[in-house]
Amino acid sequence: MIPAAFDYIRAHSPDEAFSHLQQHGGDARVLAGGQSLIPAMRFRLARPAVLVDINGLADLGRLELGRTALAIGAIARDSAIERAPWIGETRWSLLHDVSRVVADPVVRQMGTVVGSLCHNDPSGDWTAVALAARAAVVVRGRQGTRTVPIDDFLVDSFTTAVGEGEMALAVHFPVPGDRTAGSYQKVERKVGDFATAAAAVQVTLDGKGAIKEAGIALSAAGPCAVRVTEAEQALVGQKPTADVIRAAADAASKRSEPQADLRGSVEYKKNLAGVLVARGLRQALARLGVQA
Amino acid sequence: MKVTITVNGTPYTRDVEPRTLLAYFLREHCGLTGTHVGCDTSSCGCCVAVLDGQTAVKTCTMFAVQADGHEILTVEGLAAGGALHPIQQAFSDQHGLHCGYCTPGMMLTTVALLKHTPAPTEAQIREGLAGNLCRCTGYNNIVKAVQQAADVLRQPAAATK
Amino acid sequence: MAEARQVPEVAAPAVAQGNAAYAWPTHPTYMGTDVQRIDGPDKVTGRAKYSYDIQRPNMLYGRIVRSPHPRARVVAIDLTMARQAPGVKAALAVVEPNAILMFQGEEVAAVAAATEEQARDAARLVKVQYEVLPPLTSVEQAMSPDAPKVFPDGNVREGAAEETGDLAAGFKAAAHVVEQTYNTQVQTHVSLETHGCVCEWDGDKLTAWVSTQAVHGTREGFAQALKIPQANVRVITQYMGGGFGSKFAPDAQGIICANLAKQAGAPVHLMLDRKEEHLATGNRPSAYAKIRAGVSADGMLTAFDAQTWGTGGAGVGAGFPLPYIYQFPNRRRQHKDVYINAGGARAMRAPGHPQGCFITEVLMDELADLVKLDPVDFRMKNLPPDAPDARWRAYFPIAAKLFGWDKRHPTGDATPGPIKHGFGCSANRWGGGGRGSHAHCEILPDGGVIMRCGTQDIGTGTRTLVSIVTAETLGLPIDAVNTEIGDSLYPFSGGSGGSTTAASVTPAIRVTAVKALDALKAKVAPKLGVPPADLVASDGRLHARNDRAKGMTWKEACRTLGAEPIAVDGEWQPGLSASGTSGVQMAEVEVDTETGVSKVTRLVCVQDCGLIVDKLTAESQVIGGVLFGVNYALFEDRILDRNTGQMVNPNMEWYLIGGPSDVPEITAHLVDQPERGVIGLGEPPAVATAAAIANAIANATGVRLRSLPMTPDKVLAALEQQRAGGTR
Repeated sequence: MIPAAFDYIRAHSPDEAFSHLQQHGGDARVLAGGQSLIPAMRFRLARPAVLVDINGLADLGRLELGRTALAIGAIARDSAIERAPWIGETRWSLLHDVSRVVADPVVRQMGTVVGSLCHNDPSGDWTAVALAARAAVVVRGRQGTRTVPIDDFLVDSFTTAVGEGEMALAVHFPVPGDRTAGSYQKVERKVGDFATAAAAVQVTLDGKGAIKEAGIALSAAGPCAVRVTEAEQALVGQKPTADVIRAAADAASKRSEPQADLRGSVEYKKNLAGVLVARGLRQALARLGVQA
Repeated sequence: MKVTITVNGTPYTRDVEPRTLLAYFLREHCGLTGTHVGCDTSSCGCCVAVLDGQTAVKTCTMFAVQADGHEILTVEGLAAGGALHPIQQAFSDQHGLHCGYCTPGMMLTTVALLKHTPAPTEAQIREGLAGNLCRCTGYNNIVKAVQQAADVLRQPAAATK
Repeated sequence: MAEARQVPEVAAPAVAQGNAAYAWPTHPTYMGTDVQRIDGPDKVTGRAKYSYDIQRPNMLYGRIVRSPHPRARVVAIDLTMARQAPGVKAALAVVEPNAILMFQGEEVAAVAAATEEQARDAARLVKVQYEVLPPLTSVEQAMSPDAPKVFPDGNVREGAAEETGDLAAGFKAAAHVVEQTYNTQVQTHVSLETHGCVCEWDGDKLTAWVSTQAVHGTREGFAQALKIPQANVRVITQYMGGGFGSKFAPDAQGIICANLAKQAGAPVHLMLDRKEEHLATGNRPSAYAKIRAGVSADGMLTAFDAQTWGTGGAGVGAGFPLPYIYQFPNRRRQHKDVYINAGGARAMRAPGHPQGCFITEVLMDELADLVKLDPVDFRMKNLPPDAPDARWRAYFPIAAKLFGWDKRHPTGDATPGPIKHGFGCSANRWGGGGRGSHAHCEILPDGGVIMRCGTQDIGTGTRTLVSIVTAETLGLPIDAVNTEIGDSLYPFSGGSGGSTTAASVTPAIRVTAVKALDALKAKVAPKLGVPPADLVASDGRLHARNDRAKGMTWKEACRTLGAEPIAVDGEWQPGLSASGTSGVQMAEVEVDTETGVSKVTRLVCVQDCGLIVDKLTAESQVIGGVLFGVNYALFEDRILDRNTGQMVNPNMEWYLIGGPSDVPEITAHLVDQPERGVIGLGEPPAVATAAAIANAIANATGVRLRSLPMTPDKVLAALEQQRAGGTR
């Protein structure tokens, strides 16, 4: 399978990339890792007239761990997260988990975090993780750059807040507090497959062992990844007990609105959402030394 | 578009359409047919090559124009000076192949895997090769081949490879 | 309409009846040992050229336009725009207007252009007008009385009932009866190298590099379809990326490629893509069985009554053996082939057997549970009598010991928590055996040896086996033999199917090498003053049997030939091969009862194959066959849209093949039977795996899955049904 013809532009600076995108508007797409875009083009599900390749922009390939945020540039690969020196720290366990189950290990060497967010596949992994971790995407538009909270960024299946002629430059993950752990639970039919169902979970405990903050999100549970606010509310302020976890899991099952497909029925996937949230919470808490 | 891609140390300057996938560039423009294509969905891994010495890429999911100015290693470039690369030797020794169609991709994925994980466990090997499918061998001997290659490459004498 | 191309069963004895002149060596140097594949270095360097890799001067790329509809009438085909597209050098219609197309993917037209990109662009410009006709999209629909009559002789072909014994008496003797319906899915071959070829004409002579399991059969196929003499066709297959039963002929794409090449006056490369491969190059038919079966209080099978059906697609049968292996003294079976508008079935790794095995072996465990017998003990009671080709009574205990079967718990893992473990077992049988291969051997004055045989190595290691037998016979190192195969110019050998290649080829090689050696001995004997019959070849020397010193090196011996090499023909003879294999498999699974995900954690396979020629390739065949079974059990499923009849998953993203981390390490225990002769091995290990896994899942969870593949949602649905107090 071979894509339809297109014009290729290699950008030498973010400014140049942006000006090409401005010029071509809806006809142009940014080419980062290409691991979703190129297959879509091969099947002619996507037919951009112009591709603006940003792979040469080394500055956009960095992971910058600051005091308050981890900035992941637009061409930082999934494998860079997988191999980051700090990825073993408990507070980053959500990113640790997801970085090992996105697509397959070869695709991860090209695929990018920001690209995955911009693609916004209903069954993608990073979107749910970004919700649970309360990330924000830096978008360059005509009015300059703006930071879009992930909840506003994910608009609909394959649609984001990145408008025509705009480009996403980075995603910022807040640096989690000390007593924070996460977990990414994914059921896939085989390694490399999209999620049948997946849950991203991140919790922060306070000094007394109660849940101070909670991020709960699902993938493959609707048109795009979804935050389970009811589950978060059920958790925050509570001591982590089996009942609290069950309440969060039930809220997740209820919130999940999956599509039936070859990976499973609606009932199966709704049920899985709850199972995976419960497992994720138990694992995250276990990482903090709490059995629930 | 005119591109120059250094494949196995040799620069290839060719005029290509932007939509030409790197796999087809290697096969049809460079005549390097060891890079195979087995699917259209980035699933099988038959087409894996190594980009700039570090990164395993599915060459069916990358345009040739993206590789302009870069270095690509394919199966034809693994053996240096007539001697098999330790990974090649291991796949041959351990019988990590039947029909052999998936073998180039398996080996090139292994190049990048061992670069980042020089002493992999069996589980790490199986996970590291999870983007490469084989329909014949049952994988046992592929895992053994990667173990042998890792052992050999960790010997000081092989450090220059 | 065509029947599935099934490899004919070989009628051969279960034990080779001595062939004194060419008997296998009793103390072999190489045979039965681990011999490395001689083509390993070519395959790891990219030097091995598959048909897909063939590049010829001025070569064009071909592309086929296929019906998107499972059933349609062709109203018109317009090639005008395609012919005018850039780079196009040939375009042709494959069917005439008014042709009725019977499956999605059926060939309609084709183009050839200078590049692959141009060929694909041009194919999009072929304008085909279809009258879409309502298709039969499922067996249920095709069998329903109000289904449209799509196939001329009816949508359903009912075979004659097979009946043995007294069914009523059998059920009367039963203490327990199981009544259930079982089914298996349609599986496609998914060879990593797709079907296709490169065709090049030189005047009226055709050379075709084809990804095929049969160079001679494919030569015949080209000649018939193109109406040219077989002598004008040469088919070459040096390396091929898997076939598994689907590649025995030029197929439509081969003939189209030859015609495009003729029209363009240039070589054409035409390889299918993954979607075409799923749609149009064969599959394993589905199987359904509605069974009533009885067992006596003491655990003896009493009765078996089955209605079975299945679909091999458009006009192709869906037969399978049932009941499988075990002895039901009173039995009846009524089978129906059901036709639907989908690509036709072809032979696929042990045609019919995985279906029959799955259905029977799952039933066997259900019956064992009812009489509260261990599954192995229950099987041992009901196996057919021991015979050289029926050794399960010996193999079940071997497998049980290797596997640790004694640690099996009764059905339903009582361990707390969501993860449940279970064991399962099953057995397989297959024919194999040999026939009709020819070979030609040259011994050259400089000591060189060439063995030529028109067989092909489909990945199993045939090239290596030819070298092993030649080297063994001539007393030479393996790398002293030049093995040349994969070309229809070489002496005839049959298709590589039915696990018959080793048993066909190796006797022919043995006979030919012995004859060549005899000719050399006759030349050398007078010079050594030793009668030819007293000469032996070993360790690179020809010498007197009882006096090693009385001899000469191989090179010296060959020098005595002067200018004229030895060149002899030989052919397969009886007495060196046999048929009939048996095997047993045991599986351990880990089932997550909250997600339904089953992971196979261990697999043990005990398998015989007669005389082992190369232990390394034989073991690897077994391991690969078992993987095929794992994929059949858990992953693979060709799914058609119920309404449109179009395949929903014609790719490798939704049609799943397990990767290295989806499957466990597989233990192969080969049973060597040198006394039986060579038999063959490719197919049997793929047969029993799915059944063993199904039984292990039931042992783990207490719920029985009677339908393949055993996907997580099916497992969970079965668990839910059990919790709800549903059928058990």
